[in-house]
Amino acid sequence: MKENISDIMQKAYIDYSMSVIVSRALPDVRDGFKPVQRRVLYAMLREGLLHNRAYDKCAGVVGEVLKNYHPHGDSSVYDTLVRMAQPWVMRYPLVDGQGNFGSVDGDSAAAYRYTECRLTKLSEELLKDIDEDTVDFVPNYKESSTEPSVLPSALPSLLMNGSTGIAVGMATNIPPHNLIELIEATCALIDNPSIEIDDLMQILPGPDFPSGGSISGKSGIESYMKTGRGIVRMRGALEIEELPNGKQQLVITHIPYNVNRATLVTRIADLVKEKILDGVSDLRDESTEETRIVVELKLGEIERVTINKLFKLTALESSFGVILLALDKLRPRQLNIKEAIQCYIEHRRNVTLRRTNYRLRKAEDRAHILEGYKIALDNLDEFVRIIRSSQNRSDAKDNLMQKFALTDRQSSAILDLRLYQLTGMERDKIDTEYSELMAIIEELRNIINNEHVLLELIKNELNLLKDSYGDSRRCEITDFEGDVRMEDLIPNDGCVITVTKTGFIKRTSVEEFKVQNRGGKGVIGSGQREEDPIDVLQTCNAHDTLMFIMNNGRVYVEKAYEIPEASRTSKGRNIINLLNMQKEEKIATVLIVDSFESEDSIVLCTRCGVVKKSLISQYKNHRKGGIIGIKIDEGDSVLKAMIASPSDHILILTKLGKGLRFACDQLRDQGRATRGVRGIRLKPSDSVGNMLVVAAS
Amino acid sequence: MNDENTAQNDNYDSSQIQKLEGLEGVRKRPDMYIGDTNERGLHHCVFEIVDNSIDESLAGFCSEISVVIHSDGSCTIQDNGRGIPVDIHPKHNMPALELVLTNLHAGGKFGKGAYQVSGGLHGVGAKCVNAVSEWFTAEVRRAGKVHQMRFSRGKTTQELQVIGEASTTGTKITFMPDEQIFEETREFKFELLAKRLRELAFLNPGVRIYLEEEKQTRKESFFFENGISEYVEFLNKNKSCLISAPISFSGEAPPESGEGLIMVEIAMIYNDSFNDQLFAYANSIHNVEGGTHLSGFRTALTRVINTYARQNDLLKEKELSLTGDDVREGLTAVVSVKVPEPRFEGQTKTKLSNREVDGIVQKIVGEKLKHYFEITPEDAKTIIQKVIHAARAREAARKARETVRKGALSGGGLPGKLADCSEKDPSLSELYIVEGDSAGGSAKQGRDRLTQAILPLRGKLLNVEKARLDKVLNNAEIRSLITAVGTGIGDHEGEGAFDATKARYHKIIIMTDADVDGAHIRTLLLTFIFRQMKGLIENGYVYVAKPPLYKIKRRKTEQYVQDDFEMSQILIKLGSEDMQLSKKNNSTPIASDNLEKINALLLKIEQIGKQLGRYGFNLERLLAQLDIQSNSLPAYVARIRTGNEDEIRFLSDQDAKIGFMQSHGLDISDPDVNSLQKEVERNGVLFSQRIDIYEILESKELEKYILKAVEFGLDTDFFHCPEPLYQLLDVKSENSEPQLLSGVNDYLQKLRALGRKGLQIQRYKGLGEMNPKQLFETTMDPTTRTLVKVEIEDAVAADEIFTTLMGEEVAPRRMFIEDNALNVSHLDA
Repeated sequence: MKENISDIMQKAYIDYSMSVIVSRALPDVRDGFKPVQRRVLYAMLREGLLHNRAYDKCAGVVGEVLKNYHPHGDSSVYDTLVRMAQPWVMRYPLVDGQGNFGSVDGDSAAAYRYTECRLTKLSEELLKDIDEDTVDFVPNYKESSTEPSVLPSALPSLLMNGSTGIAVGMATNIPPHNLIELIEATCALIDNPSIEIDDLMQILPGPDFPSGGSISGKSGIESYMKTGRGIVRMRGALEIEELPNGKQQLVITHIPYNVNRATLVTRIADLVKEKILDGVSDLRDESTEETRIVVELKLGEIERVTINKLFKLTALESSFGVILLALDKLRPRQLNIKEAIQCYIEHRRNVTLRRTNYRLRKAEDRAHILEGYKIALDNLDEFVRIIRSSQNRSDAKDNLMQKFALTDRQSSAILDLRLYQLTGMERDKIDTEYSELMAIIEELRNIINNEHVLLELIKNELNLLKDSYGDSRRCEITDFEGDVRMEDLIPNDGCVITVTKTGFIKRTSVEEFKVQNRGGKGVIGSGQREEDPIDVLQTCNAHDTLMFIMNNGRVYVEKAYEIPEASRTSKGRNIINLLNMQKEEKIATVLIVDSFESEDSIVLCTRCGVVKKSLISQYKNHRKGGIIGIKIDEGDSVLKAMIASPSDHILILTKLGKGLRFACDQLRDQGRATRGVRGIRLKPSDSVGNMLVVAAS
Repeated sequence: MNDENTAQNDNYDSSQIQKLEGLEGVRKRPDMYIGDTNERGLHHCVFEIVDNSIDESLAGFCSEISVVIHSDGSCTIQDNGRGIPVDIHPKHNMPALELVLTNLHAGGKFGKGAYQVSGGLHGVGAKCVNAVSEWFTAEVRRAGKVHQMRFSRGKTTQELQVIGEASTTGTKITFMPDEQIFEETREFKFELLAKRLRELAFLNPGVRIYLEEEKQTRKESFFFENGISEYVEFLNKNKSCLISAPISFSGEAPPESGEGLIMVEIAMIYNDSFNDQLFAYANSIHNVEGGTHLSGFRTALTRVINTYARQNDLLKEKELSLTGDDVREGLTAVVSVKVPEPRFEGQTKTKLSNREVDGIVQKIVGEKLKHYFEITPEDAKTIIQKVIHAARAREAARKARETVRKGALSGGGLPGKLADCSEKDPSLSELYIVEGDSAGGSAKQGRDRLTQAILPLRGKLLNVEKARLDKVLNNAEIRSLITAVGTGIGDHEGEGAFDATKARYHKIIIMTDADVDGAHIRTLLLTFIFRQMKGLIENGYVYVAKPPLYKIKRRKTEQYVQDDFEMSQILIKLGSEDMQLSKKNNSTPIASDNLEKINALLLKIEQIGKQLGRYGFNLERLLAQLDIQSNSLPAYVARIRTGNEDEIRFLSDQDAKIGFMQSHGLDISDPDVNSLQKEVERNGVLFSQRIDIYEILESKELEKYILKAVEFGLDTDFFHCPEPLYQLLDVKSENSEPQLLSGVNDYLQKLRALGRKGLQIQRYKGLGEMNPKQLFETTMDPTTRTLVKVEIEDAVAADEIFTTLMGEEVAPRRMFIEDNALNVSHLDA
């Protein structure tokens, strides 16, 4: 036999990937469980590990699951079990664990021969009514028994606890939500199926992570609620404590969801060691079950800077990329929040209806028997007579059925009656039971026949559960504070920017230049290469903006702190590595701007005497790739640019020694990408040598 | 010690000691001076003279050199330098010209007066040429006169005399190589001379060098303004370079001791090849073996590239530093230094040995190259990426070699987990790659140990499509696989490379569980083999084993079943025993032998129907379209996917298809156009809509089978009618109710359910479930097993499949799954 490798690959791969998608990694939209989770819970139910019974060994559960339902590795089963018991993973834990079930520091749980478990009360709700024909059962893998294809799930488990799974070519990542909000949203959707997602969001404002902390910004939430995908930014919580010695300490009390606490502490320690978190004098992890990481600040340190750095540089701010993907009718489907809740409601309608039908069947069954009893008790003597005169049981049955309008089952039941049940009291009991049963049947029929009764029932059940299991939000949702900007991390210190003729640029702290007396010799300010003199020297603050005006009229804008910092005697880096420069560009001038909102203008002057003035604000929208600052004529180039206020005067000097001066407001403000106007008329051999801005006085 | 030696010792007195006078020494031992007396030495003579002219140009006095090969076998070298001095040397009392041409260690290059730097340094070059020449004529134009001297075999034959007037200056030397010395060849080769002269012209920009051969009237001139930078370009004439122009720079520094300046000039470029070309010159002399200048260059280059790569995050912290070999891959570089006091190893000057040059070159390269990288970051990035690539490839090759070599050293070299067979002939041996130790155990115990070797691999193999090669080779499972197979891997050359002839087995059989994880492991193994040992597949060495999926037991008989189809057949056969099929209100059942045939046909129909899933619909839906009159099925189907919706439209024939295409705006003129992707708006929301039109290839076949089934007495309405028209009756049990049937699937399922009665079915989830003996009987016994030979029909298509399914990109994989998802033969429970 031969087969092409492409065909073998395709067939094998599709088998594998579809299996992973449909029956391994993705949760069912109805009950929110992956097969292995469902199997663990179902096995625990069958083992009788209820919340009010004694704990039993996890090994037993794992064994049961492997034996009957899940023909895969034992570790995957136990890991599933453990996760369902971890309160920092599950917003509402489904398994009540006894023993070491791991920690938020990433410690793993003890081996399953040590630990014990049982269901929580809440998870029993998810399994409730399972034996009332509420869900389909399918044969297990060895066809020796059956397992539920889905759980009745009296709570919206998919959104309640969330889910995470990586399949092939797709993945799911659903955050947990608050039960009260979720149930209210579900009820709202039942009441108004055409409710807008925006209105749903009023009730269900976003995820509620078990780890607490806060969610920063609503746009990610809105995005996943509406499309099924969005990025939610989570932040840990911290408090500032004053120490008696005047120092302050930051105390991290909550960390974001899915963040390993030990790793976080290590990361902070590393940053302190690398002097990036330079305001920290001590770091202690004082956590017990409660998180308490103490970051002690140096005396006089501004706490905001360190806090911002912690958010920016560590997992104290993390993101949760929501992908609301689940199996709907065994096909993966990305849902928005409304669709997800709708699917759940649909499931509950189905479950409740099936349960009602089942109960009705049972009740009618019983009523049928009771009706037989009633006939028998009404004609007791006759019955006794017939039975006494019959030869055997089947003869008695036949005789009874001949005499009275009884069914086969009714007569059998009558024959099974015990003598004491013929007493008066028992007869009353049967009457009461019958009338009660009739009421129940009436009620059940009502449910089946009226959709709104069914929906009310679903809502009532949900609301009952809400009252018993609902708790308040742990995770606060705040407005987006904006990204932590670089400015928040870098002190606004004075610095000296130098650029050499061949374009080597650096930023040196002002402190490296010590104040000298008059007549002092000066210090070396640059590690220049031979014959590469300094072209530009500017002092500014680290938060200032530098405008690089190039000889061809292009303008690049960069923050001063983006310029590589270097020591006094070093060379710096070439400007090419900093700006997305075009070929053959040279710096004409570097301007320092502290704000683009200023009233001042930028005056540019070219060698051929063209001048141009435009407001600084014109340059506000700059791009990485540079913008046009002035349109330059062929053969001309920018000589210089300066910042001038309206009251200043401008002085232009030519190479041949001519000069002129005019008031700045004589120049009209122009747009950014314009050519400018003539500033000085030159003789053919002359060119502009310098331009200066001088105060009017 | 024997007598003869003793006798010689006795005679060894002062009379045995000679001092060779004049140039006799050279003639006696020419190899010491000109290298050898063959071709190389012969040409070396020309170069010795040319080098003198070059030295003259280095001093700034010479701009033209011409070399002429005469028809009689002699050679003339002429320059326009200052001319060798002709005045009488005060100390030696002979003309300087004669002095420098006849007396060893006489010359102008010892003091620094005449020459700052020079290639000649021992004062022997020209004399040697003189000594090995049959005749040798020197003509010096100097101080307005032309002076001439003649020599033969190192001895003066004509004293200095003035033979004419001259307005220019210069030296002209003509010599005829001596046949007593050059016994083998005395013919100057144009190409050999041209090569060196071109080199000299490169190294000395501004000097024009002519070369002429009288006999063949060939002439060439070499003149390069940009020097070694042009040289580097010349060396890369037919190669594709990574950067647009050579990097060139120069610098100078005084040596620690001594006077003058050491000048360094370097030009380099990278091309996409794997070889390096490094040329080192000291004072224009090619140092074949390199020396301190080259070592300085190498050290600095490696350091600069490493520093730059780390500083700019091109090389991650954890990654190993780049080695000298890495940075030289694809490098062409010319390093030329001018040293006032050069020291070489040997007169042929193959290696520069001035210690201080190393440091100076290092410093200059360090500074200038760093600067170059700084101002041209794109070039820097390109080069460093090339180097990193080289490093990774080198590391991978090393690992591969190591894996192979380690195997060869450690006792037979086989991984501990391999249970090898006793047969040594590869063509008779088989290797079973088995999923997991559990199955490995069964296989080991059950195998035929003469020819069958077992290699159990634990867990999921690494996906080599996604992992870098070095990580792949660090993986223990993969290493043991490589060693066991023995061929080496990859498509590179050299030790450790793939070589199919070294395969230790000519049957490599992938034996994984029959479940979906087994399928996954199969894909992973095939990916590795396809990517790294493709030759195995090309040679037809790779097979896939087919373990049974079921064991059925009926009373006492056991039977293994290969796959679901076979299982289905068996169940149907058992199920239809004692069963009658008839129309609902018609008591004449179909004859039992006809029924058997019908069942076989229906099974085929069901089987074909399974493939329909890929179009997005199932068999029932298609059969519902059956036209009872013509007994025909739709020939085409349009699948319209809008967002998450999936709609199916059947098109009965070509006309219906064209009509549909027109109404949806598809181009009907081009027969290849059968899909369309567009945006559609519904309730203000944009959806992407994909329309695909397929020809239902199965229709024809289905029609055929349906027709046959009709011949055997089954009506067409059995197939497409949604209402149950047929019934199934058990003839054996008396009071059984007839079962109503709706359609093909229903019928077959009911039969299977019946067939299952009284049957013990064991489905094998893993190979480990079988006893060793069972495993052998079902899967490994060469006489009964089924093996699927893996073949590559279309290598390009296969490559694409591997990239899609196993590669980094998720989107195409998802697309593939979505488009093929329904075509799945079984899902794991």
